[in-house]
Amino acid sequence: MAVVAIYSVKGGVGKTTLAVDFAWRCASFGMMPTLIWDLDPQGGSGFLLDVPPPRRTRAVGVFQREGRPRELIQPTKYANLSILPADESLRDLPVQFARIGSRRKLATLAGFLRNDFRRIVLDCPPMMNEVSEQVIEAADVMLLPLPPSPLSRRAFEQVRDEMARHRRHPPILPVLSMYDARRRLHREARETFAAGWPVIPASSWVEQAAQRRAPIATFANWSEASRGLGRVWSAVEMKLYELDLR
Amino acid sequence: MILRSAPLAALLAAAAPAAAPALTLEQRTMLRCSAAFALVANRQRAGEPDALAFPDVGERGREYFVRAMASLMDTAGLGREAIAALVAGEAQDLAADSRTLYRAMPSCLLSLEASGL
Repeated sequence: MAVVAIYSVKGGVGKTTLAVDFAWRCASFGMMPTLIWDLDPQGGSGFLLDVPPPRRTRAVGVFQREGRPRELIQPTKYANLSILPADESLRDLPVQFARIGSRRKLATLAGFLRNDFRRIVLDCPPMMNEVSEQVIEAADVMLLPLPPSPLSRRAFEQVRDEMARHRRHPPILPVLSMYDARRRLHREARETFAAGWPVIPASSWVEQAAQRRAPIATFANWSEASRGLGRVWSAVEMKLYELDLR
Repeated sequence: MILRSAPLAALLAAAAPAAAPALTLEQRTMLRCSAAFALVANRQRAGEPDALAFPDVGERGREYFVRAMASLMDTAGLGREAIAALVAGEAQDLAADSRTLYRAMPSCLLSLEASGL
């Protein structure tokens, strides 16, 4: 089992779209039992997968004493793909983690699900706090989507500095998202701080994934955006294989 | 292309590899997945139930294999015999037990999809 975190300190970078896309590809193309665990109170993953919102707001309860993640896990309409949906109770998650004291609560809970899933994809909230501390401990690989902008460069440096504070942290794969080759600033980013990063092109197909509430590969797998996403996830899987996390 | 007409079994049965050259993660993945697809395709033809649980990788797997070999020639500067030996080594590792082979398949299927084939 491997835990892959999709993380960014910036919002609006396509994080949830990527998390849903990767989880769907693992489940559908890779035929692996996969869980997408939505830690962002906005609940975007459930929305994109067309999962009805939870009737009761109790997602934060998973992290309390006697929390049982299996009770909140729901199947999706896609084979092999389940979701642990978010709700507004996760606004209290930083406080909850601070109260617990241990940095490994999320890692421990993910470990409980080892026999149920081969991939757990964490859709993380865009913040650097107790939640990101837990994510760093739990993740085997962290993917950082960043659009080509000066603020993204700054965000990347912030994450890099944060990681350096940790004695041990997972491998980080930065990805240039929303890339538009017609824009000079984007091209410059690709030639400078983002040189060598995998690229996901800006595309109306990615926007349509939210409109249709379905992963892009289900309706436009031929598109360059879907191909770009496929290459990113293939790279993540290569890394996991090398780490002996199959 | 020469490799297109070369039977997979012949490539897989090539001599044991010499000292392995340094390959990138992507190149190692191409080698491993080429070998995995060849093995699983053989087992699918033989009607092995565990292999049939995966999508048919006969045609697409063969095309992946051909493209991967061509790419390795171009990018790693390896000759046909050297590549065949490397694939044979991968195939031996994967075929050692079915669990190893089938656990390699999911990531290879993602690589196959990413290849656009």
